[in-house]
Amino acid sequence: MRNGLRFKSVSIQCCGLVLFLFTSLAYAESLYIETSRAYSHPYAGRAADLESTMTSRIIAGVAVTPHFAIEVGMNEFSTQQDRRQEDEVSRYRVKIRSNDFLSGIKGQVSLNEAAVLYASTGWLFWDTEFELEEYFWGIAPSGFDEASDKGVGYYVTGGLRFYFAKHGYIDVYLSRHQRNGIFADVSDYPVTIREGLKGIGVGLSI
Amino acid sequence: MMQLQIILLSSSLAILTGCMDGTKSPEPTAPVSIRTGLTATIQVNLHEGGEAVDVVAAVFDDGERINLVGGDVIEAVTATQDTLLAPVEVQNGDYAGVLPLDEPNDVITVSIQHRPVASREDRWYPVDILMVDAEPSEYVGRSATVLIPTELDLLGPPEQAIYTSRGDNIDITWVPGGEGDSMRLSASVSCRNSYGGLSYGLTYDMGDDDGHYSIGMNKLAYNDTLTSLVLAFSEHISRVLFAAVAEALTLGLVDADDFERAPINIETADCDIYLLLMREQIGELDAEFDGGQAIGSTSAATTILYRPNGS
Repeated sequence: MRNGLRFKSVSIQCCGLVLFLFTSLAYAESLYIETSRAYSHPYAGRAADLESTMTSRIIAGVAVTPHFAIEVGMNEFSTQQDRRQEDEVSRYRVKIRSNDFLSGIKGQVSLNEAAVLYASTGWLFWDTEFELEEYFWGIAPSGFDEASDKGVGYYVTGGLRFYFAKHGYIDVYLSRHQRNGIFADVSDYPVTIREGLKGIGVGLSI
Repeated sequence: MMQLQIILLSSSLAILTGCMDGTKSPEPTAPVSIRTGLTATIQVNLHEGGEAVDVVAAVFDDGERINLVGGDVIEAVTATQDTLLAPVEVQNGDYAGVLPLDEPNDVITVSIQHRPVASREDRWYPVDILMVDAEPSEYVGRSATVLIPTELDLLGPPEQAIYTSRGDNIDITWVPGGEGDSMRLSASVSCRNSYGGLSYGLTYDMGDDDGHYSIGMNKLAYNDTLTSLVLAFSEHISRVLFAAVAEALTLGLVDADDFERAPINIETADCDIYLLLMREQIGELDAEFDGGQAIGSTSAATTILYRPNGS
């Protein structure tokens, strides 16, 4: 319940941020949109042994000053346990999928005419689904189960833009996505998943 | 300490599987198969100075070990404490655990239960939300009860007592216990010389709980005539008990080649012999079982040294 309230509260703040973003268009220094692919190293505890994976992210933003921008985005993440694990109960594997909405702020500084250094941070609204496959060595019927949860985490990104044209640039970055307390409202065994990302993408600014 | 506990429990479980011949002849116990119906071997042991009992159990269906899956577990409980036994290895069929004991005369119940969440508690994901719950098996509900006999007070031989001849007798003495208890001696023997070493395990029925038992060093320290007996014990362990216990007992499963290749000069090898004395009391299996045994026991240990060349 607490997580749900926090989700609603932050959602309201996020809607306000999006609204502010659109109203800021009137005063915008520039607009940008960028898409990227990132190598993600997810971690949910050593026992989870999650596979590293590729994720996709798209972000749009408004620079309201030369050094400050407001941005929103979407991120798609999918992974599974590196191998089936087993204990006395069963052999099992967990798959995880998450569709995330990002909303935050960005600070940036030009290094020269072609390069911009930036850092951004904000809320990460995660909608995460777990799927479990369990196999009982033929002694009992095997099967699947799935469950999903929503909540709010955060993201932090640092990167460089390299302009190859007046409006076009390449974006390289390091990022961290954090999803805290997944299933905390309904389970005695909540999970936190964090990702370390190394991404590269392209962007357009006008 | 853990290894010692495993050794003592494994030795007892080996006996439970059918080695109790009730004689006082110092012959190692021979394996007896459990082949008919649903049977169980359960041992609950309190080692000297301990505040928790070690519980080991295996359940057999027509002689085949049952692997409990899908949330079925073996649970050991007293009026105030409980624990789930864990398999020694996945799909191995032998289970072990530690149960705190508040009172020495607590009744201990060991039973098969269906605990889908508790059995998965060590996993990393939300096991109470995400689960494929297999139905309880037909074995759920079977149980046994045991009582722990009086504490075993081992009087001799003293720790690190040295014996120099294979003809020496080892006099084992203890404070006699109550009527109906029986005694067992297990030994973990580790011999070595400058060329290498060899380790193995043995167990003997000691008969009545009368406070005295004498056994020749030649029944413990390695020699040619002992080889077949050690191998019988090793074979029994490997078939009936879990691999980890066998490893603890023999420091690796012993086979005939090991003895043939062992670089031990039987006349000169030094041996450290860990002696484990157990007082055993038969418990009760419920009527759903077709056979087997449940035993409560107390134990005490000492280590003696065989030094044919002097200390």
